[in-house]
Amino acid sequence: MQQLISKKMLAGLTLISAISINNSAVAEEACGAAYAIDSTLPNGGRWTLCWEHSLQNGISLHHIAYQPKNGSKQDILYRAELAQVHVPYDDNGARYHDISDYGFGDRNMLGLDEKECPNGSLISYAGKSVICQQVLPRGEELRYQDKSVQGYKLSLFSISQIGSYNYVPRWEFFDNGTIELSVGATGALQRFTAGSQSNQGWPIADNKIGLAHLHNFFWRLDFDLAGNGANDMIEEINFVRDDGGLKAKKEPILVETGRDVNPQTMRTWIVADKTLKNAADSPIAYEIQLYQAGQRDVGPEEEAFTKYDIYFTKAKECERFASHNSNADVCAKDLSTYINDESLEDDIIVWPTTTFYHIPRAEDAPNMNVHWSGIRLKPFDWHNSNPLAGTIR
Amino acid sequence: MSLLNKKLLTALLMFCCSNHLYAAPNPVSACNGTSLEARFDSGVAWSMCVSLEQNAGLVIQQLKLTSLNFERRVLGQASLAQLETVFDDNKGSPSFAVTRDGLGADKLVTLTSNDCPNGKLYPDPTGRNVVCTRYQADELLYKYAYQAYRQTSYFEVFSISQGTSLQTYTQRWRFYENGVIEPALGFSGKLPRFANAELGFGRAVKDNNQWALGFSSYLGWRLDFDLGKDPNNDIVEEITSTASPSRRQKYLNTEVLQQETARNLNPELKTSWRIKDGDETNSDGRTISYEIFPSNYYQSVGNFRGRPWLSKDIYFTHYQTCEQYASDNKPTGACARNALQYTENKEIIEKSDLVVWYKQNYHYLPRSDDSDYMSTDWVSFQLVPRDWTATNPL
Repeated sequence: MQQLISKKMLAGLTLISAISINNSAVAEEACGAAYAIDSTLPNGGRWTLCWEHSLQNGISLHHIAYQPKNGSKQDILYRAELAQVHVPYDDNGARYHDISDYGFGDRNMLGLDEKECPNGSLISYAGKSVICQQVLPRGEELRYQDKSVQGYKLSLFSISQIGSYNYVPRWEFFDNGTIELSVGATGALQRFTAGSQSNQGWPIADNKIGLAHLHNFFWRLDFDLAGNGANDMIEEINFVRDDGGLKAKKEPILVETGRDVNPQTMRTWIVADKTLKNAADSPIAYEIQLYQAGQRDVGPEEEAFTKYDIYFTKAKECERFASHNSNADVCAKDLSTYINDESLEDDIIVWPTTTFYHIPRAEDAPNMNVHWSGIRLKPFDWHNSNPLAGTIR
Repeated sequence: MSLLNKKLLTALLMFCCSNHLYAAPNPVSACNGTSLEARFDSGVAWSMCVSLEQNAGLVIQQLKLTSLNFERRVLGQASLAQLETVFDDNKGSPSFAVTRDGLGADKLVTLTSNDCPNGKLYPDPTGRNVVCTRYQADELLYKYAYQAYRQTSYFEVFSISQGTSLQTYTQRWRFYENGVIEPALGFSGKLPRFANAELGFGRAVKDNNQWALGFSSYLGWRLDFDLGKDPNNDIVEEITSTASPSRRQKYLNTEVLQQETARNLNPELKTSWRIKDGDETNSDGRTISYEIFPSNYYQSVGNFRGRPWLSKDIYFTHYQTCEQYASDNKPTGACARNALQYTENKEIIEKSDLVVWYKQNYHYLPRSDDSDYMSTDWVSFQLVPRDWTATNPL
């Protein structure tokens, strides 16, 4: 369990050694130095978090905290992980639950080499390099007339092979506090049928049809804003016509439920702290954006966990996966049964989802280019003002 | 950190003379702007003519993709063809950044090397640098266990327009080595408007008496597809997927849209559209096409003023010279005002010169984190090759 740090990173660390020493104390407290990641981005903005490996989830992150430039460190997520990849095929010949039934960790997690991690550093688990850690430019962060500030992000990814598919869970942490969670799907097509025409797939070569299928991605996000999960709350925001204009209608979600996007009311959700407020007297919060909600699939009755775009549940240690949850004798089996009207007064889990419907194309063979599916967590009154605007103010 | 992996790609950029910038007729012969070529080490290359229009700003013309040593045109002309903005308090008329204010000419921000890291700047006819091009390398293309792994690059072209004194818009086009085209609009600047808190519009971001107003910006993209040699034989196919009664099986349905029409996204049916050519095929004999991958569905039909043209997501029309803008089009002669009206005379579009109008909605929800400088937000979508080649050329 050795953490490899590139020379560039080492040079950076010596420059900010005072901060690093401070961090290793924090890291060791939560997870030990070998599992701690601490990254200060070139413009300021610092992320600290821990990672762990498990057979099913692959890489999970925990104790995720963000320190804005010239600001103080604040906890955001107690734990975050990919909690299911559900892959039903149009012909009903296979309906995979890749996280719970196959697992993204252990032998399914691929070893990475340096060329797969350009300008980054590799982090090892059990003698295998499994995480690529990079700091990447992300283009313009802000602009006012001819003045601008470029942005950066910390990126972490691992790669897991399940059958012919190679999945790339990726976590990106921006210097403005935004978090993007995504999964790349690459490798090769898994299932085919013979023939030249089919309404359950797409002809991709002579006598070869790639079967159409869905990738339903589910994340499990245990928010603990400002380090306390017991005082977080969920609000749904819909925009409705009022007084001749458009007003935000906020409604707290007080009991466990599943909800859908609504493109007419531009519905969105925030997770907010009940006590901590910013200078404008607004609760500090994160918005959950399902920006790729353009495809969805409500499956058969035994897959009722596919019904909603996002779920909010009371935190329970044994509710680990969106579907095919184990310990059925002590715990519910999937999201559809996690939501049983319990109060969200205490610690809350948010389960955002996104779906990609993959109709194969000739270009998917022999090697299939990666397709990214993701969601976004965006600061919402987290700061008093834009933390990166200092240089142009 | 080098953005340019010299081992992986060789860049060949050509700058061609220009003194007059206007919308080219269809079809076009010479480039009234800057001819650009992006060539990757794999032999894949993009070529295009980038022109700067007073209204639309950055316009991509005669976009061609060379793959497997074979060059084919994808788009005759493409640009943002409207940016209609209304604030949440609905006071005053909406603004039309393309047709009334313009995104080109003196609205284009002068760019420096700081705005264009590791890139190359191009001047407008007055000599101001207003266009940046650059490569981004080191992106993952594919991985298959320990047997196959490849990285890839894309070529990016952008310009930035000063919409109002407070609002800037970045028009950015990415052209990937794998044939994907990604148009995007970036929203930046300072919080543009505030209103008295008692009115109840917007949110408190700094001052509890003056709330920052949210706004809806409707993007109207005009994509004049001219696949292959013949620009007059393109076909739109709508692809949907319907579940069996048990919902365990799904069935694809493809339907050629024969007449001009306005359509909506439907996540349950996984609706998508592809533009295919009337006669050209890949080496396996399958029709070449480009598929539209929409984005930002969750805000897509927010339309509190009930404007008919904003209730649809995508419009397919037959090319007409005077149909230039997605809305606020000058109604001269036989020409209508907006993309929805363009579809109303139901012209035949099967095997015609096809224009696709894709409308997106971006609703900005104010937050203290954007006080007073907003973090740039991007709204994008993708055009993805489908059966353009018989196999993955990379």
